[in-house]
Amino acid sequence: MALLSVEKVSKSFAGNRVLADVSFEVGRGEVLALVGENGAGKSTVLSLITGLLTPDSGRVVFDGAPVARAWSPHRARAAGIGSVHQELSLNPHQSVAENVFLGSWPSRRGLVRARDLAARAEPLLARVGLDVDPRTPAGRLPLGRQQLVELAKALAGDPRLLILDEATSALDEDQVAAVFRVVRELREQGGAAIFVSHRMAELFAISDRLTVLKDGAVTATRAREDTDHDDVVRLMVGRELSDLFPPKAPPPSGEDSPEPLLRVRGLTVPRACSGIDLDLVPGRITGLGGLQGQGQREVLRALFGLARHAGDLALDGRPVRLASPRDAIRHRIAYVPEDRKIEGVHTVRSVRDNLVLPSMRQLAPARRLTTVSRGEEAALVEELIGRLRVKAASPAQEVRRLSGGNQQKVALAKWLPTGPRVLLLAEPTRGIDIGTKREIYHLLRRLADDGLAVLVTSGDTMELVGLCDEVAVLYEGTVVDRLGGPELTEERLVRASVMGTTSDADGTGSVVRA
Amino acid sequence: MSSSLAVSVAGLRGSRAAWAFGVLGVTWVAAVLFADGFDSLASFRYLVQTASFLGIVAIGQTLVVMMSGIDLSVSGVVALSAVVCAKVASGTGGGGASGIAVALLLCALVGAVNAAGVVWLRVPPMVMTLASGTILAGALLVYTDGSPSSAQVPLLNSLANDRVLGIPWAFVLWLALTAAAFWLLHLSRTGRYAFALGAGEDAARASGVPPASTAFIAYTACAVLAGVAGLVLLGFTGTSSLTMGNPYQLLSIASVVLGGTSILGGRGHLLGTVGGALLLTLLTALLTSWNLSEGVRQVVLGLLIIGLLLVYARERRT
Repeated sequence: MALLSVEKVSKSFAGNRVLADVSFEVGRGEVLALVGENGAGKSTVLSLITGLLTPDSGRVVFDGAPVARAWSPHRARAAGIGSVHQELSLNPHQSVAENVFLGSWPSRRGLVRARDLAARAEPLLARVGLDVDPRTPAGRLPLGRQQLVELAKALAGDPRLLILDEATSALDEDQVAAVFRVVRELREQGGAAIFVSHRMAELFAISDRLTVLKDGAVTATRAREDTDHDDVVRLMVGRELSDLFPPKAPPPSGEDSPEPLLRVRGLTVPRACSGIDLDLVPGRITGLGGLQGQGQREVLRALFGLARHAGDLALDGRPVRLASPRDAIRHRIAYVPEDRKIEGVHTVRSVRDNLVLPSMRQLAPARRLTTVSRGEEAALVEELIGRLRVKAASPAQEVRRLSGGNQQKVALAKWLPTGPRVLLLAEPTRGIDIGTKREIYHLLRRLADDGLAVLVTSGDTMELVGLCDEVAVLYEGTVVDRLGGPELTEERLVRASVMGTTSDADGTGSVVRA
Repeated sequence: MSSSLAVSVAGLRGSRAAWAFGVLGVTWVAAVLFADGFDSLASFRYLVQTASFLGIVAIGQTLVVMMSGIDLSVSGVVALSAVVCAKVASGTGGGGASGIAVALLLCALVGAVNAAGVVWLRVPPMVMTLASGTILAGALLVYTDGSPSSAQVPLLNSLANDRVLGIPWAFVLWLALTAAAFWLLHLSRTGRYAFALGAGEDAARASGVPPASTAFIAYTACAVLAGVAGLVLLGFTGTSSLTMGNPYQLLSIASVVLGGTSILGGRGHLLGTVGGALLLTLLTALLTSWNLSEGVRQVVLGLLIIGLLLVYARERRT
């Protein structure tokens, strides 16, 4: 009998179905790799197993018993499910030992003794190959070592099932080897592991079987011996495109390639990206691809004046300095951020207030003593709601009551009256239903056709391939490949993202810094 | 169907300010019916007159709270303006115009310093204004040697005590200042920026809202309004004291919150604060009329504020 079986689970968020009848099993003494693109549903399925979410239908059976409705991360840990995620959950101000035992500190008459704690942490740290003083504050360690502390913390619960969700993304080779050693030990002792990684080589090095998820459904489960990299990539990608994407701009004809509107040279954001060159051309949609967290987000934030940066930026051939969002807005650069509810819209404010906020200078000019013109405001709001077909009960409705897709429309629509020339969008369709996605793709293409230069980041390979005229692939903060025209395919994009090299025809690959 | 329901629910929630006036009305009727001394025109007049002092401080507080700040220095500023005006006026004689001007200028300066600390030094508003209020209290003690002067400033005397068409000038002043603050908060660009900053600073910055100038306008306006309240109080009592501002620190914040404005900022209405200030003044007067001792009165007032908050002005979980 399998240690864990996931049986026909489905899950929807706000009517948006993210998992549909997903089933798979993990046997004792087995390592299962869970593979899929960003947004395929991997994290959701793992959250169901660790009790962060409950399924709408179907069930999760662990060790022969269906998990109760009142499943929770705490109970999952007590039952023997340990998990490590890409996002750290350490308290940076507490010691390594305190973090390892967080929530279950050994105490003597109610007192926790630092020395006991350290002594008990040491064998766990040794198991994960960490040679640090357990009394060091966790925040002082480099990222990779913090990730190993997370693993030690998971091991402190003595798990029978270990979930590693992108847990190796910040690790170097030796550290990955240490993680694999722990997983193999667990396997030999009859435990099991679920392993999620974007690095194909790691998946094949450690797993016994691979389950591929696509659009919230299992496309295949294969034994490692029966498959290879190309097979898995094929299973991950390749969806029906139909008319989801609008036709692309015609390729620049020969010598008279258009002048870039925004020319970026050597853009460097400390600890995020370095030496980025980009040419944003009116009429064209440029994409920034790559695995999650390779610096895409910081490139956009720098270009909107939200991140401190170095490098040469020129707008229309003239050097510009973008030290704050106000600088960027003055140069008619607009930004639709990734964390929509934090930076994109005010969720507790009305649709009207959100739509007019960037246009306050026009609506409340100094000649009116900065009094807002209600009439012009209402007309503008009505026009924008109509133009983008924002589905709101009224302009006075709070934005948090709108669906994610309509919130995103508001975050985009509010810039249109400011007459932007450069439009920066981060993950423009994350968590949005397919119909609204299509509307947004077509809107972005229309805006480009009207002469805007558009820059998009996305973790969705299909989106970049379908929408963009050119894609620069980032890997660890540098551009490793540029794909355009017939070269821009999902397979080449995924390969460049995963391997961090150009996808040369001969397949050897080499790192290119443009 | 569900969306129209959502709107009506949102509409109800938006009218938390109306709750303040509702509770005020009920309390007032109850006071007239069941308590002694609340049924005369004179008592009504006296009530709105005394509510004006708190009300003027509270509208300034509303401006700051709306952009998710808070001003704990208002008690110090009230005392500052009264003490300085009294001292300058008793020194120079005359109509007291110079005293008023000096006092209000100093208040504006305190507001600007508060804003500078919050914006440029990134000190949390609560800490910054508590510190500046404490510094003010100490500085006044040094400045007056512990014995503040009393002064008769004719202009302030009539402003605090006289009436026009039977309405106390203080109340008229309060309404006029409320109208000005209403324009600033609800009709002008600055007000939109204040609401936006209160609803979420990150999104506001990313939309081009200038946080610094908005903060300077709000904190300076708040301090000047507290200064005006101090001047009217000086006219009302004819004397200044170092502790005369103390009640207004927490009561002004309570007026804002009972008026339906979110203490976290970004939601609310200035007129709610007017209701809140009237309500708190009425409750204080009621407790006084029952001959409760000062200590008991404070305990009961505190409990009432908590109770009313629970009834209609709780922060939403999101």
